[in-house]
This record gives sequence, structure tokens and C-alpha cells, in this order.
Amino acid sequence: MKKILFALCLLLFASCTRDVVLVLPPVSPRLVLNASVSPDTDVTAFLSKSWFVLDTVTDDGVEDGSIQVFINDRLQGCMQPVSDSRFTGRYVLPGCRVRAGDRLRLEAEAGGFDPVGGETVIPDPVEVLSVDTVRFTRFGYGGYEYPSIRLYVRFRDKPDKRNYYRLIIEKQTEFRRETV
Amino acid sequence: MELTAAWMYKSGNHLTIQDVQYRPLPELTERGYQRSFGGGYGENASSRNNYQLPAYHRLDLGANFYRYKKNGRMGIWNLSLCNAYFKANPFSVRPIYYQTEKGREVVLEQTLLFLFVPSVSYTYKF
Repeated sequence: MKKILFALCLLLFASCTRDVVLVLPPVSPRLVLNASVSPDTDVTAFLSKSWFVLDTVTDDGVEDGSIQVFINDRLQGCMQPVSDSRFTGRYVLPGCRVRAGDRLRLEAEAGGFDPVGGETVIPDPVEVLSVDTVRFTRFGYGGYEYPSIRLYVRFRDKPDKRNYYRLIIEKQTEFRRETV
Repeated sequence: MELTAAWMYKSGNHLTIQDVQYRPLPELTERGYQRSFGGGYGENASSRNNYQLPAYHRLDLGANFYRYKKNGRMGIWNLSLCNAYFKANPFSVRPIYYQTEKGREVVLEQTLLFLFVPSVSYTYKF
């Protein structure tokens, strides 16, 4: 009787996971337009193509496309591809820069793809009120000490505007040659 | 004695599988664009609800045994079995992306709970 109860409990509370390999229909690539524009640099964009999740892609950059730049609905020109060993599909419009308040629109097209585009308004620059750092020691497992630094940045947010902030923190490592 | 049976059928739920990948924007630093650490990629779905799970169905069986008492009262024994033919309906699913020697693979990890649930109950009417 005990064995039967034990077997019944095993069956009752049995749970498991099983893996099922999905057969997904292939998806044709689409044009991908990426850009991060700031007033102090020429308008730069990256044109690439998406790929199906099961494919292995070696080079996704699109270099034979064209990107038109509009600022405040006025055509500024067509971006030129830039040869860059790190990034394929990099485009620049030399001398074209934006100012705060400009409405920037990029329209890209390439053979075999549907055209894509994007539009944004360049926000006002953020006035940084103060920057301060604090050094402290963080203790990890086993009593290890990790010298750390905490960064404080103060700026005034405009409550009537919806803003996104991008904080870039770079670590600089300085190498010195020891002389005798 | 009374026998009952109920069969339930539901078409499978839809879920969104991220079946498209793309190159994200390189990191923009003070010194210009730099390739993002690790060379990662973004994921997206070609459309919402682009995958349909298998249909959910099960058969529930039950039996009521009536026992009449002398004083006019009644006792009812009920035996029932939920999911009588042990259909492995997944309780939850999770897509996992694998990189194998043959290439990439998308696997749906299905968690199964309680293949069948028997129950016994007794009702006393007075």
C-alpha cells in the first residue's frame, strides 16, 4: 500500500520541462537606420540591415544606400558613405550641423529594401551645475577590497519638457614608464 | 451512480518570438564612435504574436456514487480525474536561443505541471 501511495504521489506531483525546437519561418531583412546627433559634430548615421535570428551574418552594413538629411523640413543634402574599418555603412554629411531646436529628419533607402526614416527635435543643451567625485572602498566576498569611485552630477531638469539624458563616463588609464 | 465527462479544447495562445536581430548604434564617446563592448546586437520581433502555441485540450472524468441513508439523508462519494489521457499541456513557456555547431537554434522550454489530478470528495446532505 505504501508503495502504491508513493508511486501515486510521484505521478501527482510530477513536473518537468521539455525543449521543443521551433521551426520559424524566415524573415526577410529590413533596413536599419541608426544615428546619434549632437550640435558639435557633423550629422552621422549608420545604415545596416537586420537579419533572421537563425542566420549567421558576417557583414550587415549597407554601403550602397542613400540618406537624405532634412533640417526644419529643408533638404540639406545626401549623406556620403565613409570608409571605416570598424563600421561598414557609416554615412556623414560634411559640414552639416544642427542647433538646439532644429527638427532633424533622416530618410534612408537602398535597393531591395523599403525606405525608412526618423525624426527628432534637437534639445537644448543641459547646463551642468556641478560635478563631484567620492572615492570609497567596496568590500566583496572574502574580504576583497575594491577601490571605487562615485560620481555626482547636478543639473536642472525642465519639468515641462520630456527629456532623455545620456551620461558618458570614460575611464582613462595612464601608463608611466619607471626610470631609474 | 452518475458518470460525467467534460472535454475542453482551446486553440493555442499566441506569443511574440524575437526573430530579428540588428546592429545597434555604436557607442558615442568624446573621441568619436567606438564599437560597443562585446559587439552585441539588438533583438526585435518581425510582428506581434508571430508564433502560436499548440492547442490546449484535456478530458475530465467523474463518477458520483449516491448512498441513501435510513433517515432520509444522503451521502455522495465523488471520484474524478482531471486530464484523463495525460495530455502534456505546458504551464509556461520560455524561448531560449542557442548557438550550436550547426548554427543558431530557438528552443521553446515548456514547463509541465500535474499531468493529471485525481480527486475524491464526500458530500453529506441533511
